Amino acid sequence: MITTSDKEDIQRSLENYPGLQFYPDAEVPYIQGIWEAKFNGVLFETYEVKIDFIHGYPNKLPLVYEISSKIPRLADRHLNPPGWDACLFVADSRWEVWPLGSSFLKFLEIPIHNFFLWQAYYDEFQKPPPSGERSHYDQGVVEYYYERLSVTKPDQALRLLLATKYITKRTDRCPCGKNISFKDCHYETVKLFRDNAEKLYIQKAINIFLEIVEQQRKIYAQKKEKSLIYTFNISPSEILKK
Amino acid sequence: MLDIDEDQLDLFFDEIYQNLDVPKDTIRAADKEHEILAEWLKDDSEVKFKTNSSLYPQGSVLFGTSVKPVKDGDDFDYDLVYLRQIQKDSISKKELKEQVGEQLHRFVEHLKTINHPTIPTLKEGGRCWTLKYGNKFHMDILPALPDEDHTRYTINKSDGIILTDKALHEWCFSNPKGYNTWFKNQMRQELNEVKARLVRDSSMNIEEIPDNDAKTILQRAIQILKRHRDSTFQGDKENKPISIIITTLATKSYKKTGSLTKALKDIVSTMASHIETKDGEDWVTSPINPAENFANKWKENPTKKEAFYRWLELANEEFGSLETRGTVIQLSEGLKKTMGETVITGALKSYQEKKFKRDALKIAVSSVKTQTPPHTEVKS
Ligand SMILES: [Zn+2]
Repeated sequence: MITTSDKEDIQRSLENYPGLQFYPDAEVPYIQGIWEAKFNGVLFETYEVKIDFIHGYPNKLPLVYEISSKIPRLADRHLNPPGWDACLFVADSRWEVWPLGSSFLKFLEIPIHNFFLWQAYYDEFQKPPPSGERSHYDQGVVEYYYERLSVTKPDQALRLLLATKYITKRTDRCPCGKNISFKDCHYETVKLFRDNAEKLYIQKAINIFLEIVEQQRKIYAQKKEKSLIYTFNISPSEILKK
Repeated sequence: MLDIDEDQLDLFFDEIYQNLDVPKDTIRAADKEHEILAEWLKDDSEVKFKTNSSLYPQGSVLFGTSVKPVKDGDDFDYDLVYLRQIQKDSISKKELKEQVGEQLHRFVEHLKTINHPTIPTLKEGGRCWTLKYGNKFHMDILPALPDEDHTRYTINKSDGIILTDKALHEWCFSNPKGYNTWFKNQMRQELNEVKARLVRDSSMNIEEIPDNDAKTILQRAIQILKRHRDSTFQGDKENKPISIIITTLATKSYKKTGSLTKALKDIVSTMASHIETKDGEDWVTSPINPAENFANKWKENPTKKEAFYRWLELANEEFGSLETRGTVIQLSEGLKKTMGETVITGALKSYQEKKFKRDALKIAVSSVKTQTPPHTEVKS
């Protein structure tokens, strides 16, 4: 069940979207209608959409469907099988894209708006726009953290994510491995994640990076080469003990 | 100096193709009249015609390479083979032609009695009969008999037909269905890709899409070359290089790159290399019959050979170095002279609209406030 105030917020958000209709009393409340992919008054494409407010909204993201099959049912078009709901963004980035507590209007204006512009571009040019896309599955999550933390190695990302959970002094060497102090390097970014990102996603990401680091450690142990990947020569399990 | 990038050129040339392609409703209308005639022929009560005949398209209509006529008022040419299941020795060439004329005459009378919306006029040609439907299209009907020799062709062996020449002196051999199989096989994968895209954009199933609704880059390139030929030989129709030569050489020169302008460039720069010399004679060998030379007229009529090479040189000048010819607007000024004013003006207009949309889209995707690159979470 979604609350009355959430329903009011959704209804208000649709004021400037005459093509969309809200059905608040359905078992699963939903929006259905025509989405116009447009920018600066230029209309590029229209899509028939349905947005389901599934149980758990707004903690759970609404599910967005393009129902006229204009967009081919392919992972490359970022529709999730088997129901082909739109994969709007990496869930880890929700706190930046549509933080809990913000209006549904923001969900329309940013992720949905961006998603359908992306699709319109793909339809016109038969390729994704240069602004890019995330890789499928866990790799997309890895890309998100690399980009957001400005690092390139799995153990750097791992240490920085761990720093959101464990105390690192501002004057300590930065967990990213650079030979400068935490406060002059990643302190602010780590604080941003600590204060805003959902703990659940941070933990999932830690597990993903842990697995990557562990795999790489094995490969290098086998080759008996000095690790090129490790910024520090400590095993992942030791990283975790810290 | 690179003035125009390839994407822009391809966009413009695709619009040129769109503007010289025969409109779908014209083709559909002709298809419908074709069906009506085929049905009537099947049911014709005259005993001598009850021969399990068939009526099917040949040439450009079959290959999906028809182009609008150069002159705006001219109508579109829809070629049909009227195959009658009669043995060659049981009928003379003259009888074959005259019987069909007589039958078509009765067909026109029949249409009048049922108040058919368009009553065609019947005209006799050298080897065919023409039914002219209003001012949009005419059907050329070629009387034909089955070719009893099933060893002549490498594919569609039993689809060979024999036709009379213009003077009704000789039998000529042909196999439009076999040639079409070869032609489509050369681009089968691309054809399926284009169809798959059409399926996506419409509610049709892949089997429901008519073969020639899906146009590959090769077909589009051939259409552009044919239009260039038609304009070049407007005052000299007798010598214009025949479509089967252009189609065969273009197909042999085609490399799949995804770019229409690259295809045009590849074709005009390499098509001459597929003309062979056998015993001092020029050969454009039929891809389905090694003993057939599409250029067999060149020997006795060297003007035709010269005309072909003259045209190819002009086509090279036109399509060989498109990227160096200035802006699309400058390029279009030159093309108006060789491709026709109406086609190029129309193409330029829709190109500019598309270009505007594309530029706006590029700006739109690059200026989104918060980057939310889409992602796929779940494995199928
Ligand atoms: Zn750092």
